[in-house]
Amino acid sequence: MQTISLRDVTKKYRSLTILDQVNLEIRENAITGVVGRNGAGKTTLMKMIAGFIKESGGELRVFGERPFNSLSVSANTIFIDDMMGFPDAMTLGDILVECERFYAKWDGELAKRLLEYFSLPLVLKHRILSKGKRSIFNAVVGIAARCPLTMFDEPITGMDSAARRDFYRALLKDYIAHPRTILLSSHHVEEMEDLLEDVLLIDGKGIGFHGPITELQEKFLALQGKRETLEIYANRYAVIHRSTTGPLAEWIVDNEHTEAELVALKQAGIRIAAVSASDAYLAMTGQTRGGVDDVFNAMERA
Amino acid sequence: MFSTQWSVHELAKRQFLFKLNANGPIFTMLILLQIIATVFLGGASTSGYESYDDPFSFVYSTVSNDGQIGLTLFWAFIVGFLLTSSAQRNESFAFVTNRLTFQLGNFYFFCAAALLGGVTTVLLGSVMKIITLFSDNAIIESAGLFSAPLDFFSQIYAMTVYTLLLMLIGYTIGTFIQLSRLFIMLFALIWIAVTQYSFFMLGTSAGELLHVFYGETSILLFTLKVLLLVGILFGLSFWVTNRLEVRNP
Repeated sequence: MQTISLRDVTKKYRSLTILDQVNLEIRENAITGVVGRNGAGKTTLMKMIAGFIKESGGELRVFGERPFNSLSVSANTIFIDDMMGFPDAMTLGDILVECERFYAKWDGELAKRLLEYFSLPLVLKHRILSKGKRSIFNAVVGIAARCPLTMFDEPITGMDSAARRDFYRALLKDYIAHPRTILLSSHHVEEMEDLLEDVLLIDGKGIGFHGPITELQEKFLALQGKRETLEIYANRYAVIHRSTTGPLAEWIVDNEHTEAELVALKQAGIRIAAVSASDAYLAMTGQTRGGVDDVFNAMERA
Repeated sequence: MFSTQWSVHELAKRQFLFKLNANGPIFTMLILLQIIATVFLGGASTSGYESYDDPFSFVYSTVSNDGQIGLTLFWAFIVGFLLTSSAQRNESFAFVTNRLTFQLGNFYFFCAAALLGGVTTVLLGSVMKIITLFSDNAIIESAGLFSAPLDFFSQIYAMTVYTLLLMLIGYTIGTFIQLSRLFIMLFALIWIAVTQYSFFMLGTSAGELLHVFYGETSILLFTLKVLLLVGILFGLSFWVTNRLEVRNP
């Protein structure tokens, strides 16, 4: 069963193309991590799915309906981000009352208990909350609304590490008790690894990777050994990333090899290890190169 | 396929209740404006002196609540404009809505606010009478609830309707400005044109345009004209609202 399906969906702002001809299916009742570099189009994609903004082309269906201006999609969807506006005049308690009014499966008791746990008194006003506290409140609303499609856009902005851990844990527990389709975008893949079933990587105006998180890890191999040895044996692979720790070098390479090659590598004294999903993500989006140094070097030369 | 389904009517009602809860300060603002109007403009009365042949002469003064009416209409325009702000939109779209229920919720809110504005403004007229009575020890000649109930209620009706119209005008202008800031220029030009025109040719054209409403003596025709204008304003603003992208800074 597919909750979301996109066929050749494009989003443009005047001449600027954000997403180009995206094809995608998100299955029901799975937690999907939406990852990608800044400005890749994660938020744009989710806002289109929520019906806030209109697709420029293609066919977008959420629960089988076009989300823009659909009352049914809105009633079954919640989109949580750090820009969420609640009225200035309202206290957190007032906002919970409004949530109850709009979300059919709202669990007020859970929301109150979670806010108490995170020490957020209901008498506070939303606008005086600190950045982290505001993120916590919004996240609690997202969890307690129990919408069949729940989207979090960088929900952990400003949260301290204990709060982040608690948020992931609360989300997972409530998801297991009440399965729903969850999209979760964040830059911290290493923190979400245990939570995610699927990963959706947005890169270069399209989908860089979409599938189970283990499949993402299997795309790469880490080879560890002496640099000279690696250069002799491993140069035939596409090297994504090179790093050196102490006497050993580590190369992350594409996982395309034959059994015989593996044996040869092992005999040469090269250790073969799996990569974490986070490393695989960083490698795929070119975040491991540290290329910003080049900018400064170029300026010094000029 | 959907586990939750709402009707447009039900959600518009809920959006309206949410608007009422969220916008308490708007009503506080109205009460404050009316107090200011009563305290500072209440003393403004025009005096006259009539003298006939010697033994008879009398002094009269006209006290009006034009000040309160003006400020209420001003408030109405501002409220209409305020509800088009992106903050207001984001608040509504934080919960369940589409653009139609959002617009309907706003419209219901305007109706409620206009009714409150209309009733309080007319009742302030009575407050003025009491103030005058105590300060001047005067004989008051005016229509009141008991002396002319029909007049009294038609005052409330007319005031409510004018308040609603001003809100919708503010809302429509605000909506267009949300679509593009260039509309500020257009509306400024229209404003200058209309005011200049009526300045030079008082009593014609621009004046007549307003006369269509305040010069109408039949309450039925007045209502029809108002409904027509409300329909036009609602349609115009919805035409824009229906294509707005929300929560998208």
